[in-house]
Amino acid sequence: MLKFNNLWCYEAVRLREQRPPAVDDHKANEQALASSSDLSGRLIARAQVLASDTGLQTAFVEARSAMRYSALAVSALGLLAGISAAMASLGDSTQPVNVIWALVSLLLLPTLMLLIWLASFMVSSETGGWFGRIWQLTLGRLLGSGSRAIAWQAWLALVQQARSERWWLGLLTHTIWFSVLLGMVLAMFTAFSLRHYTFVWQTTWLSDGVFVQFAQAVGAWPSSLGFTVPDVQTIRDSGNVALDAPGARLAWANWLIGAVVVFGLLPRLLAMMASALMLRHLHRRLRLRSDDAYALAIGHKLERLTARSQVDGPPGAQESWPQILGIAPEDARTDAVVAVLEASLGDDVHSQVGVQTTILPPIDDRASRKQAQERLSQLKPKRLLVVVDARQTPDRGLIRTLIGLGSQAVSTRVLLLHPEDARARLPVWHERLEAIGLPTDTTSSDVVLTWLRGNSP
Amino acid sequence: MSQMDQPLRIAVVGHTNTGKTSLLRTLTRDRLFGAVNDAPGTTRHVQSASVMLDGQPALVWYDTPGIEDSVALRDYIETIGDGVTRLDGHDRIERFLQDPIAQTTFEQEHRVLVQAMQSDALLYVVDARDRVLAKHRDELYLLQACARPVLPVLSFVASPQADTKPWVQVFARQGMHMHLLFDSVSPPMNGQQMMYDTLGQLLADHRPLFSALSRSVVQQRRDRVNAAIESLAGLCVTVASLNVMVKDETDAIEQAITKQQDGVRALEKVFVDQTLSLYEFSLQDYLPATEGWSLGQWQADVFSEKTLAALGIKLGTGAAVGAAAGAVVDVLSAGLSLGTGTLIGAAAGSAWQGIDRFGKDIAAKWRGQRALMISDAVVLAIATRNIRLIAALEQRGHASYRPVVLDNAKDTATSFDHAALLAALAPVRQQSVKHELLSLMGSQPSTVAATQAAKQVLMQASVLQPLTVDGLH
Repeated sequence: MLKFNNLWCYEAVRLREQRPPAVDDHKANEQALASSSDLSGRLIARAQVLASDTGLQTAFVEARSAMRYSALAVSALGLLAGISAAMASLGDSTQPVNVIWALVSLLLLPTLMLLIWLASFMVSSETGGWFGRIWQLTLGRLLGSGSRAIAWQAWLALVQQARSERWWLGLLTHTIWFSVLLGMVLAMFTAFSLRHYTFVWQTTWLSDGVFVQFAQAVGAWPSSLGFTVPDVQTIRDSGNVALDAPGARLAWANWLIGAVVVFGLLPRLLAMMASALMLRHLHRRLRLRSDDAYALAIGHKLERLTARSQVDGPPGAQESWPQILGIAPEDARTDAVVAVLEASLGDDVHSQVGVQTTILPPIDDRASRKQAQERLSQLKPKRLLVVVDARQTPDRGLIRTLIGLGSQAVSTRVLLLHPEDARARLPVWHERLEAIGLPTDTTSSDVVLTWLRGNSP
Repeated sequence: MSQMDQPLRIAVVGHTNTGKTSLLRTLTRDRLFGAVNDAPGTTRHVQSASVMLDGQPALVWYDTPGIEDSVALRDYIETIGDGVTRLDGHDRIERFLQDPIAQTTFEQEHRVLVQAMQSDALLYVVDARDRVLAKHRDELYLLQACARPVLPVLSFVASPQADTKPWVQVFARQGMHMHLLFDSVSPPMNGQQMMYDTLGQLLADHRPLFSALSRSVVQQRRDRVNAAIESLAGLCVTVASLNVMVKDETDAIEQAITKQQDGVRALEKVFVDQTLSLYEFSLQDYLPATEGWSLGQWQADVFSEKTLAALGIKLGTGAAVGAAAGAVVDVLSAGLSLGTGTLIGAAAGSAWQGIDRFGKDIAAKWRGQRALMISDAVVLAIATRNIRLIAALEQRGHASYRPVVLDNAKDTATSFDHAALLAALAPVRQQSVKHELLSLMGSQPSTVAATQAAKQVLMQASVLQPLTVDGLH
């Protein structure tokens, strides 16, 4: 596939991906990663896979043939137009052909259009002129909607990017005009071969000298290509009344064809070639832009796939916790004990705890954990209240300590401090407390402290 | 170890629920990395994420499960030994890792320590809002025993409840004199850079690697902003050049206006989708998929007067600014169809909201047709809010859950040169005498050139300046 076609395919896939429904690019991404190591190569490879998946590949073929056939059709029309123009200006051979008149009528329009094309270089336009616009619009209509329209739009976008629109359309217009002029030349050859024409120039008030000079000037370049120019005498004698000498007729016919070839056909051929060369040059310079938003986004996507994260093994099993089994009520030695676990007991709660209730020193590090455990094993309370901070995460250490403490009391409840704080993790606490068999109505200090004082519930 | 052969390995460790995974999401710009949940033990295995440099993995981050019972673990580790040989912390950790019983009791901690011992450095993440507790000190002891350089990272520092001082003191007591403040939910714009620069100081042997990573982060940010602005410029050009001819009848005009407005909305949606995917966010994760284009703030309809006012653009101003730039209707068509005054009036009137209507050329007038274009005000509004979208996305952490909301700050409306943008778009807006003449010659203005010109103007937007400079802290 040519390089231009690769870029065309990429551009079309970009347009396709911008509209719903979304394309499944899973396979394309894998293949892109396998195909190349640089981003541009991967983008092209990905686009090619996606293009064949989404039916764009056939759309390219169709769009290309639409372009080719439309150019052929217009060229054929041009050929016919050229033939009929030549026939019209030569007439049916009953009247002598006015050489000047015929020449001007054949060359005026093509030359004027060529000059306009050349003049368009003076304005900073990069587009293809009105003819190009009409062609683009018509072709756009012909290609309709769906994949073919995407392919066509992508082609237009690419041509804009390459700044080659003027040259594309230039190539097209020159080809058409070339076929028009070719039609003229062919028609003249045929007509001069099969019919008897005489040639004349006419004037009302100009002198012969003007025509001699004009005919010689026009014939100068064609004569270097082998087209004969009528000699001065023949030119003079062809004024107003046609000269029926075979030599003169041959010379004039040669002169007419030579002028159309040199001033019509050849310039168009050169312009065609120049356009084709410019196109090749511009398209060679065309690069895939891997720094625009689309390319970068795809690049990120592909990089994510290569840098796909790995794990060290299956995730660990979810924790399973033993239920707290308190001591038997008859083993209890004291009424109530408060333990503060990785939290600080506020004055408001502190003041509501009865004087007979033992408050253990705050539990934080391993020494205080151990101490609390030992104190509790001596105290063996009926009711143990463990105060924790709801903002803390109920991690394994906390829960393990809680189980250890709870197993030294008849019944245990938890008071969560700061339950209204935005960072309080109440759902997680409730879940964990439930798992170890503790009541979960833990946020109201009134309820919990009433319980601690020995009143139900 | 040569940094070229094998990527550098850094494990992210810390107490459970401190935002290790969030930190990595932000650092790797991958919002799908790992699992995040406000519960302990959300991350239950070690997960890696590679940072690429020139297509090669240069650095691998390891997200580890949270340490949950460092107090008991330290207790356990300190009982290791035969009572004869003197063991230091590192020896004990090594013996702990060989211990089959430890692997079941301290399954998660075991995984963390295995990874820590296999890494070149550790990031210790703490929630700066937490009080320093004994368990944290024991965690630091355990990590210290792994004999790896540790960089403490204080997260959630943007919170008013954050108190970094006690933490810094604890780090110092463990001989860690370097730390980093990093909020993964609203990370500093140069967060990745700060991380690499600090690590470069901590791991002096790998400084070239970290400065290369830091440079690549800056380069990537520039590339992103550049690409996003270019595609915004393309959107502006496309919207500005929309142009339909309709019959000069109320029904036909109404219909055409609705169609054109829908077209603009669709174009903007394509742009937003593209930009979100450039920033590796997605519409469906952050915005209601269907109502997204009628609800919320920044996605408010661009054709409503309210939206324009919120963006600091008054209807009519656009055209007035355009007049100042010489971009308004040329004498030719103004004289023959609607005058400039009518144009502004039409833009301000609710019936033709957002669509400027004026006879484009004489031929159209003869055929009894009207040319409809999108008004300057709407083009400016689209540019303004999408510049702000780009700036917001650039500064958004990949750990963030809240949708992008653009504030109504009026000052941002002047963040770029409105007149210059309209001047850049003028060639495709077909409003000058010169254009009319050129178009008779069959010349069409190049959208590529207009896009480049518009991009130059948009890149100067003040909100983008901090994003495109090196911006080292």
